[in-house]
Amino acid sequence: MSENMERREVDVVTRTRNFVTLMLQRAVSEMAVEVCEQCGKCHASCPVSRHIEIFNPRQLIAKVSLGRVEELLKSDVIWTCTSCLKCKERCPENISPYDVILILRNLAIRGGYDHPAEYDEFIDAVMEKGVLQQPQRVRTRSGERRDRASLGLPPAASPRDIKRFSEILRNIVRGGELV
Amino acid sequence: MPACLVHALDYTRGLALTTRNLCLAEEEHLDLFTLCSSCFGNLSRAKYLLESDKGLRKEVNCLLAEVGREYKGEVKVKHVITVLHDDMTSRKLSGFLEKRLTNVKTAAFYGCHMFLPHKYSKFDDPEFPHKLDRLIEVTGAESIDYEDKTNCCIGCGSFFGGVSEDASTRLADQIVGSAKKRGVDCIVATCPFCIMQLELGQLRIERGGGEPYRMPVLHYVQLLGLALGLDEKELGFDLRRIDPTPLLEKITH
Repeated sequence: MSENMERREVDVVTRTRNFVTLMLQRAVSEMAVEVCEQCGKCHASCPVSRHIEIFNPRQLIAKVSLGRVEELLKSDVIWTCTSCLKCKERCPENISPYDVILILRNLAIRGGYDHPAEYDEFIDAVMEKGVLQQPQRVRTRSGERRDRASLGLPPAASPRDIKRFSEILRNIVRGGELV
Repeated sequence: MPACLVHALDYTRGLALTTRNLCLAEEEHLDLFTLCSSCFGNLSRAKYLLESDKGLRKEVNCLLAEVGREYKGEVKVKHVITVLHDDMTSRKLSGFLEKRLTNVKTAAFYGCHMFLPHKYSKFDDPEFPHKLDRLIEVTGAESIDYEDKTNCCIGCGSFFGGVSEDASTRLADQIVGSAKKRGVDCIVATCPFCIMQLELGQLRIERGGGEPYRMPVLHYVQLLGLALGLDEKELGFDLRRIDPTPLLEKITH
């Protein structure tokens, strides 16, 4: 690796680290207890909370503003949000529990905390094949097989040079873990 | 490109992946067109963030420079629903229709990323969205109001392993149940992911001894296709997991 490229990589890492620090500062300072009124609109709007008791965005914001971040990074709770964005839309203080959860997920990945295996599986699939899932033959309800050709569709496009594609993607995606 | 899942792992890099897709369309001087609400929401989010935060845009363009691309901000993001409602308008659309689906009752299911948060795409009212309802009415079908119209299908949570299958089945039960209570013939959605979630949810409910709803779930373009007089086979109805025959029989030929 040339010296130039090394320097550029370090640059990217520093920039990313700075950005996450900045995001967290923004989020946490916006979330001083006096800003979040704990009104509970986020919790009342949340479709996940209705079906999974441990998930409570109002409580999550309270924990972040009290500095109990590590407790959250260790817990499954931050991976339970389904990103419907109702809390972001409805928060009267513009806090967006959703964005806070995204930042917590970023931090959990960087800190090496557990996350659902599906994330790695999907990313690995894209690295290997260029797509999340190859278009596959499906069956109709009566059991007939269908593929793209039988529907008159051209073959699905995939990266021309899969090796180079994976390399670029690896740089972009895995780069974040260096921090 | 699974950018919608990568931004959970890395905010800036995830955004860079989404933006790369915007660049591909921009380089061809085209608008970016999608059939999926989540794609629409995620691409609109990238566009919004890069327009409102110059520092972030610089950051993302630095990453894109490594693959020889630059985001200029000229591209528009479109969903088939925004094109039909906002660009084409329902008046023009109705001129193409061959059939009126007059005795069909539908439950519109918006899908979160189509209209939330309002500031991303400004497509529809965030509390009382109505554009899908209007498009359904253009076909002659009726759009019935029901409790879970703007609920979340929870697909993005269960697909990535954060939400248990059990919880996602209970939510499907709630949504399909509330539509069924209003006596509709089908649910009409704007997102393939919502459709998958509500169809597979019904199969799981039935397997688990719950109510056999047998509620067909269509993409809006499939309903429109029927009104355009297209062949049922062409519209892929034989690939739907829930048999839509009772619905198709209601449509007079």
